[in-house]
Amino acid sequence: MVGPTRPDVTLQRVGKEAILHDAGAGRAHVINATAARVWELCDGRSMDDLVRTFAEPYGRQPAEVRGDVERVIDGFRRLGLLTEPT
Amino acid sequence: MIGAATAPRVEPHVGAVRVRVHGIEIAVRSDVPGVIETVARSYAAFLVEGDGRLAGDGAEWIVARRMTDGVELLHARGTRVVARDETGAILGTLDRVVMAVLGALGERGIVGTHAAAVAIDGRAIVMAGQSGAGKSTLTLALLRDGAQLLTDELTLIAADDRTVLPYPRALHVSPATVDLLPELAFLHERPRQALGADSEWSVSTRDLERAFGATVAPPTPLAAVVLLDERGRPDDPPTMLDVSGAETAIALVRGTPAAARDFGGALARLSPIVSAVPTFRLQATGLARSAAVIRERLAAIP
Repeated sequence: MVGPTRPDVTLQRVGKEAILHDAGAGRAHVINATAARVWELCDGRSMDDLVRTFAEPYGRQPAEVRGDVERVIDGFRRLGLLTEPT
Repeated sequence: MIGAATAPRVEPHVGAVRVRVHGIEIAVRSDVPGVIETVARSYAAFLVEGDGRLAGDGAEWIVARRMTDGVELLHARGTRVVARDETGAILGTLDRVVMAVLGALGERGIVGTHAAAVAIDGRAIVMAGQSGAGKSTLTLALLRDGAQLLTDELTLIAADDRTVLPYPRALHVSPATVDLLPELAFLHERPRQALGADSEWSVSTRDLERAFGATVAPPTPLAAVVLLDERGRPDDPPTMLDVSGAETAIALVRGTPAAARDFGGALARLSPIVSAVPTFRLQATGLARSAAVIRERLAAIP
C-alpha cells in the first residue's frame, strides 16, 4: 500500500515541474513532472497497481519503471509526506 | 481587533491624506509627526483630493494616533497594533497602506509580490530578490537606459491576463546608489530620511523624469521574471541563466505578504503566472552591463 498522501500537502504544477507544499511543516519541495505523476497516484493503492498505472500511458512495462517509481516514493516517505499505517 | 467601519477621530488633528491606487481609495489620518508627510511623499503619484475621512462598507482607512505608551495603528480591516515610537509609526503606517492595497486588489484577482518591475518596449520584466539584492539600483539603471517604471518594490500582477500594473511609489535611494548614478546627484541638496537602520532619499516619479527622462509605464504584459542573486565580483561579467519556474514561483511567493498566512493560496495564484513566462537568475556585476544583459535576454524572447 502506498499512501494516501497527507491532506495538508498540496501539489502545485509550475511549468514542467511541480511544488509539493507541506503546510504542516512549512516547507516546499520542488519535484519534476514524473514525480508529480507518482504523487497523484499515491492514494492508498498497492505498489503493483501504482507501478502498472504509472507505466501504461508511457507504453512501458511495469518492470522497466518500478525502480524509478520506488525511489520517488521512498523520497516522499523520507520527507514524511505520506500517511501510511505503521 | 476592531470591527467598526468608521474611522475614529484623531485629536489633536495634525493631518490627513488620501490616496487612490488602481481604484482603491485609502484615507490616512494621524497626529504623529512625520506620518502624513511620509505617506504623502511616498504616494505622491497617487494623491487625490479629500480629507482623511472615509466611511462605509469597503472603505479603506488607517489611523495612527499617539497614546501614552506608543502609537496606536488602526486599520479598517480590523487590525490594531501599537508602535513603540514615531519611526515605528511611520513604517507601520506605510505597511498598512500596502496591506490595504493588497487586500482590496486581491479581491479583484490581482497578486502582489515584493519585486521590482520595469517595462521595456512594451513588455514587463519583474525582478525579485531579497532586500539588498539590488532591485532598486538595477531598476534605476534600466530607467536610465530608456525603460519605463512599473514599480521598484511591490509588483502587482493581474492573474487573469498576466498584466503588470504600475505601482510607482517613491523609490528609496541610498547614497551608495547615487554614487553609481551621477544623474541623481541633485539629491545631495536634499535631506535624507532616516527610516529603520538606513538613511535614504525618497525619489519621486518627477525626480526620475528629471534624472533620466523616465516615465511611468501603463499596465504592461509580463514577459519574464528574473531572480537577483548576490552580486558577483566586479570584474566578472554578469550572468543570466535559465532557472526553473518552480524555484521562481517559490521566490515570488516568499515575497508575497499574504504568504505568511496562506502560502498555499499564494502559490496557487502565482504558479500559473510564472508558468507562462521565461524565468532567469541574474548575478549582476556592474550596472550598465547588467542592464544590457537583461535587455539582450528580453529581446531574445519571442
